[in-house]
Amino acid sequence: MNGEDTIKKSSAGRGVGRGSIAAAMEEIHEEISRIGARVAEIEADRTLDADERERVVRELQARSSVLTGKYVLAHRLLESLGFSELMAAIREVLESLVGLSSFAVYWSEGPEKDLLLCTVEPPGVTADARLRPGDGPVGSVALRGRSYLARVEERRFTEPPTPIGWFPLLHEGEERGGIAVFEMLSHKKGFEAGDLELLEMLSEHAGEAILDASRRVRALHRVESMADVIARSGASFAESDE
Amino acid sequence: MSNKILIVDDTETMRLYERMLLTGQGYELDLAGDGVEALEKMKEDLPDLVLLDIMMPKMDGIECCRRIKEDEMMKDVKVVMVTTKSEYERVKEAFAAGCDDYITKPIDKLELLSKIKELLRFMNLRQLLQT
Repeated sequence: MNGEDTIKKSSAGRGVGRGSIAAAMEEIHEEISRIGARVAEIEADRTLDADERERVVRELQARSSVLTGKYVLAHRLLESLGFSELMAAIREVLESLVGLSSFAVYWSEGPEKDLLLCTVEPPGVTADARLRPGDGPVGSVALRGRSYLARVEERRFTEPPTPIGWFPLLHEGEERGGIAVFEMLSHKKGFEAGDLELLEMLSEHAGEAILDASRRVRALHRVESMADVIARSGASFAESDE
Repeated sequence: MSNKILIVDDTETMRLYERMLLTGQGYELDLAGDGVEALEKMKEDLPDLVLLDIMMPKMDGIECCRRIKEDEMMKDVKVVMVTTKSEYERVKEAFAAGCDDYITKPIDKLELLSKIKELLRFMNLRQLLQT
């Protein structure tokens, strides 16, 4: 199986209303390819000192790991069309690629409306179902349009928990939701540069995908309602025929 | 001939991420979504190495590893468990089940490639000596 070809083909024609994600994905893919070619060049270069070669390859592969995470994030945002499917994709990325063990995702129906809880991980964590900036431990860090970061050792234990991080979810530059981070995996001491790159990308592009998924849900409900109306009309026509 | 690697994870995100990390490294790759599917695929086409997530529905990675190592046809396949550090107790269980190595999430590309390369080099050498 050629992974890259399959991935590129499967993304073609998807992501209606998610154009900026597709564009970001293309750029990342090109950068990963460039790094791959550079690693091959360096590994083949016998004029380089072995330690130097190892150091450069290590740096390039670390960069490649981060970019691969970003590519996978973009791919998942583009491919996950339903709302719950999209939330599952965001959860997977936060758990497996960033290394978060506890977090909540919020979204609002309109720019001025309260933020509503969409998903929380692990499921037992107490998190406000409705959030108003300024109110409660999460609201106190959910300042409009800005990220918030605290060191893991500065964590304050409250109920509901106080986040160690808040990353806004933007749409056209406007905050429409956010990710409250409560805990990281035990071996992580804090957010690393690569984690922040992934979270920044999520902040920038997930809003577009969530809004697109919400529109799909609404459109589906409209179609279902129309189908109900038609079914009911059909029944009454049948009754009147009798 | 290139080595075959089977990636086993219940999340699309990790299957894609691991596949991306290993693409272009000269391996033949295949995917499975849980332990049951992995064993079925292995009966059809035996890989050289399995990258196995611990937490999965239907059959978790530890049970899958145990079955691989108990099976006469599959026991030489190298098994690398993919885990989080918080599952350390389960890593011990995985070693008891016969796994060859483990790697923690979030996965570092260089660490993954080094571990796979080392395990496969050892296996390829042994096969060469046997022939």
